[in-house]
Amino acid sequence: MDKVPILKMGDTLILAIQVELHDKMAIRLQEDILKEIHDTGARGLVIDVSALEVVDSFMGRVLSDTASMAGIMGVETALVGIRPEIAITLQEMGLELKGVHFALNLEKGMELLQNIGEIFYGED
Amino acid sequence: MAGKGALNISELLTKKEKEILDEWVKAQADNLASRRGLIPEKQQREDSARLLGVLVKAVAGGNLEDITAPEYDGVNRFLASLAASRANQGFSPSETATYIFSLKNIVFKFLQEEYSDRPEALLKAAIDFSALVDKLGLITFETYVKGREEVIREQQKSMLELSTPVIQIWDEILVSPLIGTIDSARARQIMENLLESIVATKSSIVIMDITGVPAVDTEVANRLLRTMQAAKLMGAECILTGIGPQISQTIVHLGVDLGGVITRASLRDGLTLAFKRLKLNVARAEG
Repeated sequence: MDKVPILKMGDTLILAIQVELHDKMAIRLQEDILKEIHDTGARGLVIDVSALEVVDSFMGRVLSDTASMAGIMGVETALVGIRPEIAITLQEMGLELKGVHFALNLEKGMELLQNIGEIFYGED
Repeated sequence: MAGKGALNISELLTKKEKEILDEWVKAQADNLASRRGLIPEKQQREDSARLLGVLVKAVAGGNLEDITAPEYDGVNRFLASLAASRANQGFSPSETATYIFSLKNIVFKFLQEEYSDRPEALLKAAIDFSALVDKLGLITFETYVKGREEVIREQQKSMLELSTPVIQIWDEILVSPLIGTIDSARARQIMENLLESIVATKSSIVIMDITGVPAVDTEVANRLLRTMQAAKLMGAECILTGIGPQISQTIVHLGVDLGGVITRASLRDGLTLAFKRLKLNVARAEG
């Protein structure tokens, strides 16, 4: 399993990262996401990391970069399911995840993006 | 090591163990502690017999100086348990140590009787034995202090646990009332408790109330900020409340950057804001 499936639900793309990504996989994932955004015209991206037990600086960087790239393409990104211990690690590493929204779980992430979408684009 | 003096003592102790014990127990009977009735005479005698027994075994090799040597293991172990049980029985550490030291007088008496014809050897033996008993007495002291430290650590731990509650006051709203000074160990505990609670209660708003925190300096503010950042990573919004006039003044004077954290003066205001965020409406029932 070296490809992370990207699901589409309404205007939102959903992907769950379940294994630690190595360099090649990370770059491929970024490409896949951006292509998918371009193809589908999605407005939201939810990345679920609840299955991850470790997030190192590389992983943090990949997530942050992906969110920035998606942001440039007009997509709001929500990172959901960060575990307490990972939250502490990320915070201690001082890794700044700019332009990313956070939610406790997938459901809340979807809700959050919905709300943001309403504020920015109005209901359509 | 096996000089004349050392030989004297181990020989003497082995030979006169019984007599020394009798004398020692008799001396203790006049002692203050046994008069207070803290310990039955029978147990006192047993303790003394055992201590003397292990001591005789330990000095048999002529070693009177290094009490960390393996032959002193028995002595050390017995002294540790003795100190612990005496402490439980209500003896003060100096009473326990005095008890050990009292062995000196008895042994000196026997030494004197035995070697009155050799004053030089007698002096050396007395000094050696005195130093040994001093060391043994100190062991009981150390054990006592260690026991105390253990108690203090336990209390500190339970205080730490008691002092960092996280309360769910409404669906999706957590309150963490902070009381007392916030050092780094506590900050860590607060952070862990809070994050675990966010997961357990699926909360999206965290109110940290610092009404009970006497002083906020740069360090404390940083610790609070770090906790809030970690909570934010888990999708919870943080509101800092209970900021009195004093604290708000210090924060501004110190130039602490609260980095866009939502702050309110009172817990009440924070709760109102939380309700607003969750689109909850609190109103008096009609009629």
